[in-house]
Amino acid sequence: MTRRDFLKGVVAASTVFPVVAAQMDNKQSELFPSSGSQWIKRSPVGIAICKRYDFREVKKSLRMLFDRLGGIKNLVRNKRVTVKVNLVNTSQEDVYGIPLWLTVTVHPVVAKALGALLVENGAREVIFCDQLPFKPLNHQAFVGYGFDISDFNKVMNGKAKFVNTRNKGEYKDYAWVKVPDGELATAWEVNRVYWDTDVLISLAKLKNHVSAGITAGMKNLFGIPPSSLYGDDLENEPNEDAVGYRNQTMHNCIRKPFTSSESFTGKSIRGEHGYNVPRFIVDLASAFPIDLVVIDGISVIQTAEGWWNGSMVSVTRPCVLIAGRNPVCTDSVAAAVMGFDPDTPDKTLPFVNGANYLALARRRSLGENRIQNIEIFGVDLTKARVEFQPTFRRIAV
Amino acid sequence: MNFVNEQRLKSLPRVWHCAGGNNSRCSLFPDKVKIKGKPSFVIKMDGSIFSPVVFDGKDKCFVSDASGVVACFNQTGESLWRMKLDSGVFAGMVHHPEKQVLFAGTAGGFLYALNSQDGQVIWKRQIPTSSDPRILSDLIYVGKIDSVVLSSWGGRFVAIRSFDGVEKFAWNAGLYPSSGAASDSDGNIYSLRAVEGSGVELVKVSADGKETIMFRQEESRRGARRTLVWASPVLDEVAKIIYFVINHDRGAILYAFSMVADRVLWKSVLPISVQASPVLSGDGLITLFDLRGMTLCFTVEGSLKYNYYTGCEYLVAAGAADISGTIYLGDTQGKIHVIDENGKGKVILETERSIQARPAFSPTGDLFIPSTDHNVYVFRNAG
Repeated sequence: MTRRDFLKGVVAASTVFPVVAAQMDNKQSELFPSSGSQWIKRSPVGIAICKRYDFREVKKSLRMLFDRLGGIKNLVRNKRVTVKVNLVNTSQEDVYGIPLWLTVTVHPVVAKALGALLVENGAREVIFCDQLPFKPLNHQAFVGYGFDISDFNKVMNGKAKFVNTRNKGEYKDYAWVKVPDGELATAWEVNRVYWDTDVLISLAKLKNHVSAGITAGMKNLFGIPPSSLYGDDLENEPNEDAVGYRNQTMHNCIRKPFTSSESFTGKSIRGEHGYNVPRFIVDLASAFPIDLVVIDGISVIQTAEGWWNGSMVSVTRPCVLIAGRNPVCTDSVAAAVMGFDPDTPDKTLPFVNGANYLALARRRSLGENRIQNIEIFGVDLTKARVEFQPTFRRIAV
Repeated sequence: MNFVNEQRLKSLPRVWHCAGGNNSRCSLFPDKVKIKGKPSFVIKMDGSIFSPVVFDGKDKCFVSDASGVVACFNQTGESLWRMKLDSGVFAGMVHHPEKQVLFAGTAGGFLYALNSQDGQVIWKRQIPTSSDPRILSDLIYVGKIDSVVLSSWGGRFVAIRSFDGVEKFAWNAGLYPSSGAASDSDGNIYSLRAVEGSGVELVKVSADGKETIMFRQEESRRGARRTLVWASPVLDEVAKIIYFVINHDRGAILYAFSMVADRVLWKSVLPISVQASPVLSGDGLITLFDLRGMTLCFTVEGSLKYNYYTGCEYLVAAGAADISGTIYLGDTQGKIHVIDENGKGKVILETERSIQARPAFSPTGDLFIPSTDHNVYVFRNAG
């Protein structure tokens, strides 16, 4: 049963969409016994060396990864595909003059190459989306990130669409998506583009993250909850014009979002900078099962996640692309490529400011994070590793 | 050859015992070097290599990687010893020019003194910090105070006694210090720092630990917190000039500062920031490597002699020069460039991954270029 099939079955009855992971497209992962009675999803993860943002080179690398994953035709043919792109909270900045797409955000060439392959494999429509802090809800919001809709459509037979999901957009209402066994969030209220789709792809950037340890396929989902309900610029009620980030509701949790959900239990804990973010990451990944993760690790920043972290960040060039069907496995390999142990205890590098979200995800049965249990293809991990400078240790106030 | 050039030749390091060759950080080898297009051999490490190779002046070289391995090799690349430290090494190591001691600083905040004969730890010391321990600044050894000088993200430069690891003195290193210090032959130490509310400062610290602010550039619009301070000051002790780059919002300014007149001689405004340390070359030329992927060569009077585009989006590591003015450089797409004195360049090899460490010359002029592909590529000097 696809996400859309599932949706069709329940939409008439209710606007509440309880998600049971087993009911989603489970082909991406196989179940393996873990400790005790727990079964863990596992799926192979591929690594390719790619040194340049050259369209042909990137596309060739991605095609090889997808072929080795068993192909994507069965996943996307005649389907509506939503690609959540990691674009972050402004396009007006840079890192010491280096453009955002070489440092903080997904490079448009990687997105375009992915889009071309999705269309070649029969995707009916490909929607690239993120919550962006601009009024336009269409392709105009993406221009500053180097995403040019006409460029994309040249290689995607006109099947590309860009959607800014900072509010409910073209839909009449929001999708209310329950979180199975949610720890801090019991439900998310989001733009329906993330739910009214057959396939969800997380197209992420490989970076350290001060609160999450690393940011890759799962952390990318942090951009799903819209500013209109979760934004810092809201006053006393939801506002469809809001463009603010979600620090107050999802990072330091000093106030609750304006959603219909009563049980949003993020909390502000002194000295615990990384309490909320890792848990929300898992609550998002649990509610929005990712069908495919693609990680742009060609040119990135290290130590932290964005220009807003000041000069603690620096540019580095790992020259890798990573892809996998299970987000926990894929992010775990990403962490290992960065030189970190994805099963390390909480409050140790790279998760120095809080919980290891990969271990949390395994405990929630979302996937395997122990690197010795994950099949890696393409470039051998030992060879692929390019160590990142670790994350800054922050003292929360 | 005129008097200044004769003097310069004598001052240049043949034994590159730290990043940039010696304490001046000039990266200029005192001979003409001629290398063949293919590496003679490759040194293999466990992790990516971000710091330059250093030499003992006899027959050994030392390599460190970001997985925390420090290793010693002979002239043919044969491994002599390996030592695993607590965490990765990103800062350039320094070898004591007389004693057989190698110093390495780690991202975990430890400074190690290793016996360079066998790699055994003589002592190690954790640099105190209440926030972040990592050591990113290239180390130097200052003979006048018999100390190793480095900074950590704790925000202090420290001079640590070479024989026992005890702190001799310390001074403010500013926000997120990544820039290594330089030192003159009198033991004065020069460092750059970003200070909130003040800007970027060039500081001189005398051998007794007394600090003088030599130059201050006011805080840029983006503020000190967003000002990258990574490139080291470079000394031309013959011409008595300190070259340094101060980043300013998206751009940067290259300064030539007279050590005699205690004033700026000239400055050149650059369109983009600079991370790599400048390189002295030829007749007092100064060469920069910027975050657009450009190599810019300036005359001693401050006019642009040439620019050379590497074809990659940005450069993070400096090159190295020989006395003829030829620059050897690795870029972030893994290409190794040889750029002649007129700015004409060619690519002699492309490594599998990016190059983010500066090259170094052995005492015989062999060129050692580390790559993030875990290899050091060694080109024999056929000159």
